[in-house]
Amino acid sequence: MSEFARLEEKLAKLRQRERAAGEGRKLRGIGADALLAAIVTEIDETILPRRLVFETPAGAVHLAVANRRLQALLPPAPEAFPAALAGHALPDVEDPAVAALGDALKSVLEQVEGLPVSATRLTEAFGSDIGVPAEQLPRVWTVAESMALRPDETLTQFLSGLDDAVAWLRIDGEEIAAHGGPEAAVEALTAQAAVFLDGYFSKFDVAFRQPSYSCGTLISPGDGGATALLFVEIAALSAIISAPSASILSIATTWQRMVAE
Amino acid sequence: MDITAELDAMRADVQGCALVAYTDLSSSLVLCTSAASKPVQEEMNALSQAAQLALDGAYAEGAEPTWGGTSPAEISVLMTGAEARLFLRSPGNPAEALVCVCAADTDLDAAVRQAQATLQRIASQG
Repeated sequence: MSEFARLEEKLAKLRQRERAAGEGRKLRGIGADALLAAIVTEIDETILPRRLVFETPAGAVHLAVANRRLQALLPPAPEAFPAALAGHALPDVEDPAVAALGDALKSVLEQVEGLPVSATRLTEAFGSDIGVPAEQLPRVWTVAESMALRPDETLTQFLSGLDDAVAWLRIDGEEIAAHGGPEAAVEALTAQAAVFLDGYFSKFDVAFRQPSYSCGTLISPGDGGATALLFVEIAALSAIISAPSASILSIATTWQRMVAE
Repeated sequence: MDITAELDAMRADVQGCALVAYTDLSSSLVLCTSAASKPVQEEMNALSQAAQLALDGAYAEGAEPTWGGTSPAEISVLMTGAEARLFLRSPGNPAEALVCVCAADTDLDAAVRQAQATLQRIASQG
């Protein structure tokens, strides 16, 4: 079994343990702006027809999503949502129901920390011309530009600038999606990642008590010549990076400036 | 200058720094704090537990093989989109550490240099 396969198997077990602990999947973020941006990202990452269910304090919000498009708010909807919105197919971004749905979502996400989400197969059928592309939602939902994060683009851009790293692995969910650095260094980092992530996930709640859309963890021996470790997460994407201690802080600063809210 | 004054000076020098604390890693107790407004005890407990985790606990242990495991973690940073928390082990007493809560986009290189200088001065006071 390759080191990649070992790490992927380990990640699957760690994620399974997270789920077994009853935490479920939760979008990170605090407040309406951050969570609305996270919902946009969730829509943007949904290709197959799905019913996305967001558990807000006001009740469950069901959205029909397919091909990275928001197709409709599905019934049942919380009382805070205008009754006419539920089941109303959204033909394009100019439909007033799109803005009204954004306003209703904002109203139920104020002061909320983290948003549980689940996805099931969509049984309702909408025409192929129905749906608002996720990329158009931030404008009409007035999600601040800095909040409308694109995790894939953010991580890709960050990793492409890692000139000082010894090695790096990009992890999409439980899969090693890409890697960089000399083969031996990548192999060593892959073996190391399995050890680090075991402790990382088991103590996550101690390290990060406030839900956040992105997280980063840097551990360094402080000695400039020695190798240090950085693990970053954004939405369901993550990367682990080994780099000289002398440059790991500037690498982490670059990451933070890309994801700062 | 006493420890509190050193922490106050560091908080003033590091841009976007909201809180600086000096903590005992072995007992997870905060020994001294500088903050714009008095932090609640739960927040201090959480910070000291995070410091222990990041410098001596599971996070540090999981990372140490990266550099051969020949020395303990000296610097850790836990980051979110809202803040960056720095943890630096004291050169004078490995069981103590400096904690700094900064803005998310803080220059971490500069903040760590300031923290190291502060720790050196605290250590020199014995």
